[in-house]
Order: sequence, then structure tokens, then C-alpha cells
Amino acid sequence: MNSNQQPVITTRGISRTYQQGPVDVRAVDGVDLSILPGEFTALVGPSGSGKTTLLNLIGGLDRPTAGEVVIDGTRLNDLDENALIQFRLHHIGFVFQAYNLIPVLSAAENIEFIMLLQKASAKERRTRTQQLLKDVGLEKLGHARPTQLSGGQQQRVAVARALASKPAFVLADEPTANLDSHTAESLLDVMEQLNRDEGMTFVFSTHDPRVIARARRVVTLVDGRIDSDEA
Amino acid sequence: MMLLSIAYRNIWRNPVRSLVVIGSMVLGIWGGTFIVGFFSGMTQQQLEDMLRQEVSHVQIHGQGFLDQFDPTDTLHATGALTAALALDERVESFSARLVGVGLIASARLTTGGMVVGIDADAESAVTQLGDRVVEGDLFATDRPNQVVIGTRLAERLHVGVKNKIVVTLPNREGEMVSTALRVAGIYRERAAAKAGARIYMPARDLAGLMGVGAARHEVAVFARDLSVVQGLAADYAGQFGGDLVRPWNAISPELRLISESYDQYVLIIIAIILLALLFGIVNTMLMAVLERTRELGVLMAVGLTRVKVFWMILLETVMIGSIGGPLGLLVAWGTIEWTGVHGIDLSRYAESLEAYGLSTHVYPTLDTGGYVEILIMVVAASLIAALFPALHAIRLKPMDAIRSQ
Repeated sequence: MNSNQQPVITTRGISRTYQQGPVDVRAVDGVDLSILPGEFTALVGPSGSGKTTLLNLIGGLDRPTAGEVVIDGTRLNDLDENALIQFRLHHIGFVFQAYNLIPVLSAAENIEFIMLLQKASAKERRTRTQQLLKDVGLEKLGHARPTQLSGGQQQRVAVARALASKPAFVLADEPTANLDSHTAESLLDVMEQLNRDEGMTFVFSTHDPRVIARARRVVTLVDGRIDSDEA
Repeated sequence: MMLLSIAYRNIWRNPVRSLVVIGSMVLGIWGGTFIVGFFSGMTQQQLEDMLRQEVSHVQIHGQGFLDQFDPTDTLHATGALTAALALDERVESFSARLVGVGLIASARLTTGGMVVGIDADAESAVTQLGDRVVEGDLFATDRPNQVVIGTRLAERLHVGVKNKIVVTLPNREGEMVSTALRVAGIYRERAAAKAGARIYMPARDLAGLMGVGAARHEVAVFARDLSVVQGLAADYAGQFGGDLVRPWNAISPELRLISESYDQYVLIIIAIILLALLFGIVNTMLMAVLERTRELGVLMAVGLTRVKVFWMILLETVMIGSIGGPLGLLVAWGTIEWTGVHGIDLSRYAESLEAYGLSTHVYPTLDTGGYVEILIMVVAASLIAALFPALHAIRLKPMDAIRSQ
């Protein structure tokens, strides 16, 4: 990792406060964080520590009540809803805990769909979909619908989908939470390989010690603040 | 294209629900369209019957004749008028008549009535009088002093074919003249024909009796097409010495009302059906959207714009409408065509139907324009029905939607 590199993700003093009845709950509280290209970072912490909220703020799915989020040089605070959707499409890959594939599309179509939204050519879509399926070890299951795949296979498709748009980084919210040990390790192998071979940046929110053990940087959150940041 | 594919597959992810909503659309549209066809057939029949048998398309009378039924108020130039009508391509048929108002008597009863002098062939061409003769004939022989009377009058006078009746009416000089006539035939009166007897005798006999020669009091004209009637009436008005020329809607406001109110009834029927359809679609599509909240959240998270989400929901609804609508119309078309040929027998309600001048056999009909109108309205209703679920979908916040269960 080169320390002169520009961060792909920068948060400056971001906070997110929710109203819960009469009480203001500060889920994220003044977080400053920089992620450089090629990092393999885990956001960890107990339940309610603000991991997922921070991930949503970085991913432009939520807006901070204070502070700013800068992704690839773009300040997300300045984008309206539609611009934010377009920005997510071109810059951010998402992997969700519950896989969240589109059930009516096959594995290949789930991946291709993102490129279609990016208006990629048919040839490019086909080639890249095949390559991504190969990267995640599912080249023979492109035609299968999500319901015909195991949890681990679905999560691999989700990883391939996240990479389809050639994003600046991938945000993965508890990606192994629903997987058994063997499947989780195998998924982590895939992501680690993509990180190593292609330099893809991964940011996880996780409880999973297997993920934490593989992460090269671990940011621990407690009560919405960064408690420790270890590389 | 992918949106289209997703929309299509979404419809079939819950086939039972989609089939139920498509089935209810088919049933609704079938029922609604058939009712419109039934009503259209009934109204058209009523209009045609009244136009054919009573009113005809255009009536031309001598000036002032209708005020007093004075035998001297004949048409200004009967010969020129009938010659012009004979050459007019818009005219299907016409009948020049003599009309007298007088007394009709049998041994049993005397009643007031209208005595109409006709040429049998011409009259049959206009009013199908020959076809409606149920007993005897319409002046099949050249015997003088024949008369054809209606069934109800025959019953009241207690006479049958070959019996005699006596007619008394004023002649051209204002004197009352009488003659005995032999009943040659009895015709079926239109069920709801206006009260009052109307009897027919050969025009030459009545002309002799009234002393009017070749002149006639009225001409009834039947056009080849209803659409040319107004123009036809306008062309003849004022051309023949101030004769009174009236199209059917001026002669019979009742007919005009039937014709105009038909459109309103149809609109009301279609509106009720579409409203039911609309709520059915809203319900189904809203369920479909609520079930897919998380999925919609993911789609928006990964880059599907709200406009595209909106279109996707709209497409799904339109697809359901595109299957159910034409299928419903196809079934309705089949039913209307079949019943249009074979008719629907409502004779068990004959009494009440006849009181309203309606036939006991209804032949449903609906023109292509009617089907197209209903199809357009179904598509429009589907689109309107899709708006609420689609708006609900685009208001979702991706983050909350993804976390929903």
C-alpha cells in the first residue's frame, strides 16, 4: 500500500442521529475515517455500535446529520437522491447480509443487470459476467435462479454483482452472518483473492472472528465512535 | 429490455395471484362488455323497430296538414317530390300516403282511428307492413274496398279476415263519407305502438273516397344510412312549396331520448366495471410491491433510479391488463357474436318488456369502435391503478427497505 495514495473513502466528523420517540440516538458520533485503495478493512464492534450505520453513510444509502463523506473525490453531501443513485451505480458495490439477489433473474442476469443499468454493450456484459462468475467459482451456475443456489453460492453471486460495475470499493454488511463455517471461509477466500489480484477495496461490517482474522485493518466502533484502528 | 423481462417474470412469481387477477379482469370485462352489447342490441332494435314501423327516417307533410288533418292540405307537388325521391341515391325507399282521421266501426264497436291510404309495395318497402301481416294478405288481389287492420283493433272490433268494417271520414268538400271495407289482412302491431287504431287501405280507394285525386298528404322516407338522414331532410326542406320536412329526431323526441341516453347508460356501466377493476388491480399490485419491499430497496441501492422503479411497476400492471383486457374482450366478442345470431329469449318477461316497447328477443351487438373504446378504457384504468403502488414503491428509502422483513 502506498501512503501517498488518495483515500477512496474519507469521512470527516460524520454523525448520524436518529429520533426515537423523545430521545435522540446518536448512532454514529463524529467519525473520521480514511480508507485507501486496496484495503481489506473490517468495521467491528458490538451490536448497536454503529457499524451498519457507518457503512450506510459511506455507501450513500443514508445521509449524515453532521460532517461529510467524500468518495473518490466526490462529496456525497452535495448529491441529490437521483445523483446519489447514479453515483452508487458507478462507484460502490454492495454485498448484503441476506444476499438480496433479484429472485426472478438468474445468477448471470443478476450480475449483468448492473452493467445494463450502466449501459454497457451486450458484448462487454457477456464477457464480464462470465469472467466474474469464473472469479467467484460459479461459471457453471450462471443460468441458475437464486432459489436453486445454496446460501454460499448466492453470496458469491452477490459479490460478483457488487464487482460488476467496476466500483471503487465494495461495502459488505455482515457478509458471512448467514453462512456456515466452511462456506464463509470459502467466500472470504474469493474476496481476499479479488483484493490481492485485482486490488479491489473491501470494507466489511462484521462480528465474525473469521472475517476479523483475515482483515488487514480492523476499525473498532463503540457507541458510534472509533475506539481503535489497527492495521 | 431487462426491465420488461423483470416485470414479466415478476408477474409469474406468484402465478396463482396473477391468474386470479387476470381471471377477475376477464370476467369483469366479459360481463361488462356483454352488458354493453346486450344493451346496445336492445336499444338499436328498439330504435330500428320504431323507425321502421312508425317513424321512418324522414316524413314530409303538406303544409298545415298535421294541425287539422284537413284532407285538402295535401303535399304541394306530390309528383315532383316522389320523382325527386325516386332519383335520390340516399333514399332506400319511400311511401306516399293519404291520411284521414275518422270513425271505424264494426257490428260490435265504433272507435276513432287513422285511415292510411298506401301503395302496398311502397309501404312494405318502408315499414315492412307486408311482413307483419299475420293473417290474410296485404292487398294481394285488386278487389276494391279492402282494408288491413292491426291485431289489437281486430280484437276490439271483434272482426277477422273477410269480415266487414265501416269507415267514416271527411272528404275534400268537408262532408262525411262512409264506405264498407272487407278485412283483407291483419298485421302485428309494434308492441308499444301509440294507442289508437291505424288501418291501411289502397291509396286509390281512399283517394276516391276523399276526392283528392293523385295528391298525397305525407311521404315517409327511409334512407340507406342513418348518417345521411339529417342532410337529406335539410335538402328537401323548403324545396317543395313549403312542405313540412322533419327528420326522425324532430318527429319523435322519445326516439332522440332513447338514442342519447344509450351513450350515458353505457358510460355508467363501463365506469362501474372499471372502478371495480381499478380497485382489484390496486390491491394486487400493492400486495406485490409490499412483498418486494426489500428487493425494491436493493434495486435502488445498486443503482436502479426511481423513475425506472416506477416504470417497472407500471409495466407489470400494464402487462396484466394486456393479458386480461384482450382476453376478456375476446370472450365478450364471442358471446356477443353468438347471441347476436341466436338471440336471447326474454319472452317470460314479455309483458313488462313490451310495455317499454322492447322486443322479447334481444340480439346483442357491439361495433368495433365499442370494443376499441373499452380496450382503451381498460388500459387507462390499469395505468391509473398502477399509479398508487408505483408511487408507494418510489417513496421507499433503500436503506429502510433493505432492512425490512
